[in-house]
Amino acid sequence: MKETVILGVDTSCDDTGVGVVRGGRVVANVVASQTALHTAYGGVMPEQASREHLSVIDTVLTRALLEADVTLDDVTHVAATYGPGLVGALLVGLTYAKGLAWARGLPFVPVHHLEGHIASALGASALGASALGASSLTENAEPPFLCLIASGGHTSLFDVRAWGDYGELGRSRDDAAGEAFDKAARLLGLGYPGGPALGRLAATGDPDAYPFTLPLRGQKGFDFSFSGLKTAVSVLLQRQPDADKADVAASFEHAIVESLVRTTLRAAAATGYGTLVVAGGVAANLRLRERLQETPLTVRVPPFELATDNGAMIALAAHARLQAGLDEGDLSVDATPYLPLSDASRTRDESARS
Amino acid sequence: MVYLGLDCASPYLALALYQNGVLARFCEEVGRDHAGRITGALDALFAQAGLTPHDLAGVTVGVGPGSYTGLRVGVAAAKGIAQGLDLPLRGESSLLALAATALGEGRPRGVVALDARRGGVYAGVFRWRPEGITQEGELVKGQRETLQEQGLPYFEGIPPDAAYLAQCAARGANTVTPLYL
Repeated sequence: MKETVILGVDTSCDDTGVGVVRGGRVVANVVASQTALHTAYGGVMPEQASREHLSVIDTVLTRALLEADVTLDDVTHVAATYGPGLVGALLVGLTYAKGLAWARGLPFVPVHHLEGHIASALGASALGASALGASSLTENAEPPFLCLIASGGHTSLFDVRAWGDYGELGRSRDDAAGEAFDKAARLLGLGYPGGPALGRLAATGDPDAYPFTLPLRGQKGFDFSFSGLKTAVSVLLQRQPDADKADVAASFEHAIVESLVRTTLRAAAATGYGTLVVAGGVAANLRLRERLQETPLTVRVPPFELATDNGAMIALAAHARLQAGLDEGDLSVDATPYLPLSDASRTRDESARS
Repeated sequence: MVYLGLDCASPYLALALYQNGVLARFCEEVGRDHAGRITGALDALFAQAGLTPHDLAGVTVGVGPGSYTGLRVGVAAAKGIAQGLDLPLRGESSLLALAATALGEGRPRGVVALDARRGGVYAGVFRWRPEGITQEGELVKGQRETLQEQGLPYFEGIPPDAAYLAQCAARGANTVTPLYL
């Protein structure tokens, strides 16, 4: 079989991502971030995000082809995120990719955004592995494994039984982990998006200074809840305006990390899986990484640029689907803002035809 | 030289192929389902003309004003098609495509309007000449009643003429700027 060269497009939120995966390896991953555009508003403005995607999508693709050192003649498949996400934003990347695939007569692979995050495992290395180990192809995680997705838009635990066969074990009932980081950072005056800044400040504080109650203690399931922690920070800062911000940041981060890790460990025990893939922007958090290394799990984390929203992970997911012999897809697929992954893997064929 | 014209800024999904005359047309009222229908419509259009996308020499897309979602779908698809085949891409006002439907030799001048919701419309005065259609003055967002009292024929709710857009593609690429009014 001819080596596949897959274009992957993701415009589900505020990053315009186009990646290229050749023979299963990421050879380009270009992301045009809109963070600067949305900073003034303190959050993502959907209409502005859609306009910006439309304005930059073609140059992002051109850059990705250059980075991959391929031309459109080499491309064998086009993949794009069709949901979940901001519907106006999704429509831009999806319609653009469909137009391109249609014009070139290429097979089109619609990809669920979270399947993309899971597939970033294919570019992941074992936590703590040397730089040499990280570049080894044998480091790829293959199902079955447990996947924790923790980003600004999602926090979920998935039982990844095989490519295309996912069961959601639990999810956040309110804020996503990254969203909670950003909101707490805002309360601490760290700007938007302040999650990474909060992590840096936390490194200088005492995580035991303010013992926040861990959310959903005693639950039998594997859900998360972070909005209460954010409220606890707000209340604390109102009552003690002089509280040491580094201590507050460290204590808050400690609570989030413990919640993520303890729930994940219970899920690992329940599924019997020894391998954990951590995806999403929160995977870059140093305390989370350190804490996970203390566990008996084999933890694999994609590099930062593959962990946050990007197009290469969408191309990786398409690669995994094709390798697994799953269907390609249909150009009539429409943007779907709300879409549980457990449904998507089963029902995509029907939804594509309807 | 075969050119493609498309417009998704109104409730219509309008496509056409042009080469010294109209080769094929597709125009259906699809409401807000442009994204789900566009590739199927393109297939039908090319089948009707007996052509493939590789026969194209250029693309023109209607850049609005109109539904933000619709015009984004049109521009995103046009960008994908043009870039996919390395073709020049041109953007023209979607009102120009409406004017092409409304005006002609026997009715060379009129007000062309598109529903802007909340009781208002986007409108412009257009003039037909054998060499092409031009807009006179500025594009306005105004009240239907005021525009209807100007003493000119008034057109609203008509389908866009994608063949006219396709014809414009012969002029080459320009900067495609969506009109978010």
